[in-house]
Amino acid sequence: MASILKNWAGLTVEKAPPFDVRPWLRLETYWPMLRAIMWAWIGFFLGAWIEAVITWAFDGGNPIGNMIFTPRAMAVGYVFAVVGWFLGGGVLEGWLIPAITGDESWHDTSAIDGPAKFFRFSTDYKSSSVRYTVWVMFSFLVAGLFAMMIRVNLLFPRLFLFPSIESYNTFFSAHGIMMLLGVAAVGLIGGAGYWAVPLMLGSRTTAYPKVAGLSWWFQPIGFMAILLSPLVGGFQAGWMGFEPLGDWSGSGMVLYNLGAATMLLSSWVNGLIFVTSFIYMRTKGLSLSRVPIFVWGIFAASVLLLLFVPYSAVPVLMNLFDEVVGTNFFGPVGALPMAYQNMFWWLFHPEVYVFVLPAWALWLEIASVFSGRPVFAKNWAIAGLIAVAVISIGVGVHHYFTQVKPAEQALFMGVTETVSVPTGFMYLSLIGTLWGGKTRFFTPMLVVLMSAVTFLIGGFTGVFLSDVPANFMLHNTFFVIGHFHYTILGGFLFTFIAALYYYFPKVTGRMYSEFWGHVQAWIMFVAFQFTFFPMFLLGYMGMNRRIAIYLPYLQHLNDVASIASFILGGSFFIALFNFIYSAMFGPKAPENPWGAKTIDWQVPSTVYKAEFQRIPVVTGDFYDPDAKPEDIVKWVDPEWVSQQKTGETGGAH
Amino acid sequence: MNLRQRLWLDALIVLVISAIIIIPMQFYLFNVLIGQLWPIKFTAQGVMTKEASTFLVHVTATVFVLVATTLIYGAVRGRIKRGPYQPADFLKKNWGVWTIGWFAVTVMINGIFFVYPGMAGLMAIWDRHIGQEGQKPIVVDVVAHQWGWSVSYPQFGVYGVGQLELPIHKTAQIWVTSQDVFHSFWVPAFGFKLSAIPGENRVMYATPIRLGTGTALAMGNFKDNGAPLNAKAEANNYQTGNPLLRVQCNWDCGMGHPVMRFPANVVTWKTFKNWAEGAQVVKKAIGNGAKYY
Repeated sequence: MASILKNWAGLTVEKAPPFDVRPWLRLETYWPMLRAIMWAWIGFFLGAWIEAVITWAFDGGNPIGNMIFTPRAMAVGYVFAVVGWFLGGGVLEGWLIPAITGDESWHDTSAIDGPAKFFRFSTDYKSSSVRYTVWVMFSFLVAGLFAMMIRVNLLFPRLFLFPSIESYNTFFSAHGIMMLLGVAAVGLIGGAGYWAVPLMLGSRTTAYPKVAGLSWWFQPIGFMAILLSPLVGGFQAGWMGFEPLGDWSGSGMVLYNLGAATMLLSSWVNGLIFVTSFIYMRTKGLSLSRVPIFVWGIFAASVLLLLFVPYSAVPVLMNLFDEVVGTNFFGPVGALPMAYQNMFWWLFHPEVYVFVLPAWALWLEIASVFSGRPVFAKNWAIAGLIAVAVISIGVGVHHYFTQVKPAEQALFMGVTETVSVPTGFMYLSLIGTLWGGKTRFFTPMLVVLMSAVTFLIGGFTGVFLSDVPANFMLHNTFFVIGHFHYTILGGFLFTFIAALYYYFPKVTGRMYSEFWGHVQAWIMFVAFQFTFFPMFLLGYMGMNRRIAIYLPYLQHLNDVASIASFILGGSFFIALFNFIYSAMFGPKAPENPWGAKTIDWQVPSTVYKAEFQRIPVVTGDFYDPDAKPEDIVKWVDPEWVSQQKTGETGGAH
Repeated sequence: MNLRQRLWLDALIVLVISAIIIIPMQFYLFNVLIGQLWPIKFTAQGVMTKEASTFLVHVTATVFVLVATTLIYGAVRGRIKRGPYQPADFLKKNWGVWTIGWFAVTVMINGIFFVYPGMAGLMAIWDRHIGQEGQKPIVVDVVAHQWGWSVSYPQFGVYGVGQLELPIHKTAQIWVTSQDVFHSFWVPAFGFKLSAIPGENRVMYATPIRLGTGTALAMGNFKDNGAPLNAKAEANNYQTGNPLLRVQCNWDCGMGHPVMRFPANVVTWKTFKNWAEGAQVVKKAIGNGAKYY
């Protein structure tokens, strides 16, 4: 077949083989996941019935009908649903049965071709990464739709789209938790992390591959719990789930607690996997000083996750017990409602750094590749990542300055302001990497730059919030909403999109459309500024958070924000269509279109089975612009190959 | 020109561009943004928060322009046509000055922010607590519940009203608590807020320094879903009262959270006394408050 060479933004690409749609139309491609969904539903009703029968046996009442939707029945049903979902998805044949019989044939995917390998429980980290990325894109669109509905309602001072204030409250609560735990916590770590980090470490697998394979499976079911919570009453307590309001605002709160705890477990597992892989799975020659900086970013985030997820998962579960078991941890009378906030924020502040630490590290990777320069002051950048991770542990109180006593206000103000110093190291490193370079403005580079500028604004508005006198005015106003959207979207989400463009050629083997990439990036960037900058002004003008109706003097700025937000939402669809179309019909990507030197770009594209027959041994610096890939990594045969060749059997295997 | 000279010239250009942006921006910030838009003017404590915010805007806007200009200029200056990877020339030494200098500057700015407006602002606000204690503040007892407020002035025998009337130039000691879920007591024009925590009593001090009539346009002028009641109400909405002088619940408390608001007024001492006598529920139980002042 003659290959037609064309010019793709200065690179030479070939025409790719045509897209084969037939595997996507076969039912057996989707089989394990469909079975998982079925078993989850069966599990839910089975669990709810069992609980209802037990309660009927002890307490009386009507076992048919409404007793299976009491909070306790839903909780038990949910646990059974999770078990059913795992088993159906392949944990039964892939983990339980091998644990008993030793038959690991489920994991031999060499006979499975095409997309079927994505729809099953699998220990392959690349497969996990694709599942995470696609699921995150789906979650983002759903939660983003909720955000669009919120902005439609806020076009007018009166209730507009929603039938009641309670439904509005339910929607913003769900939007928050779905975005934070379903998108931000797992987008870069689950997506780019699982793809790039084991490859960058030169290892064939992560540590604990079965646990790693399981981590994605927590996400969809937790997400569904949140999404389906309006069916059982919704929850109005915001994404933080604060008591005592949580007890009195809808029985959907039970599903919030369960769903949030489940999604947190996913993050916890990711933390475990990356910490252990970083320590134990580095290949030969990969000393700590040679480890690529993206791995350091993921590592810093993973340490935070590993240590601190229980700080938040525990109060969420205590919340659940308040609702289903009858404890009184956080009620208004005879309990400690403030304790929930203290415990909750001890994870959730480090959690926001979990979102951005991999993003900062990815800025430096991408900037280094596209500017032709090494990462400037790399050791300072690594120190910055670690320092931010450490300092972020002790700043949680800044989320509730107005509720604590003056001594705490002063102390945590000091610590919070200090975190800006190591954050500055990332900007030092980024500026130094770009300064004097030869910048090629491919879409990932452009989006990284937009991300850096946007996060800078978000970071500086954080200084306002960390300063207690200013915080007294701004706490819980739209200023805060502007601040965290600037930092999370600017820091995490823009970088996630840059990572999508950056890794697209390696993951799909095709090139996306560079023109539409630039169009999408600019529309997204400009619309973003017009959406969220007015919120800073609205905060000072007296608009507080979480209100479905507001006073008419605030309408003008709200309209600006709303209309810009519709444009922002539309821009994501441009990216989505770009990716879907290009994945099917784009031109064939070269093996290493950007010229990166890390190992993730030195393996062939779209290889899922049997890569790493040879072992990479690192002999040079990944960031040396003049080095060729063969100077940095040598591929050697593993011992058993060389033994075969010489005919020796060696000693113990 | 060799590489080193080129890089120094680039640095100079960045400084010049930054200066061109920063100098007019500071005038704009002083005159337009802060002079006209900053609404927090009504209490002495609010003056602290306003000054804190003002200082922060000036400094952070300056640093933002410097960093963003350097970043964008650095990226764009070396721009080449998109194509295969090209290594850039770079100097392999002598960047320690920049790194240590950056570190020193950021630590310095951080230290400044902690002292002013951080601790200095806090001390000024706390000082108003301590300084005013001996001057017999007016006690205002606010109890929040889903979804309304109950305000009492025990020294004046006024209990359970839905109005916040404060006399000018007298410090009010505002006690805040909640009967059920978390709420938060916030008057935007006063410049600060305090959370209403179930089972706890918290206190804040407000010393009004300017007269004003507030509006919250709550029930009466609005239908339940927020639409104006009639044309006259709509016409009057925007003229009568300052919407920032309202008590607004500032912590998500459920269905009634957006409408948990009522007007706050700052009046003269005489007006306040007349109002208190008119609203007095328990006469002579403690006194008419006159002997406290």
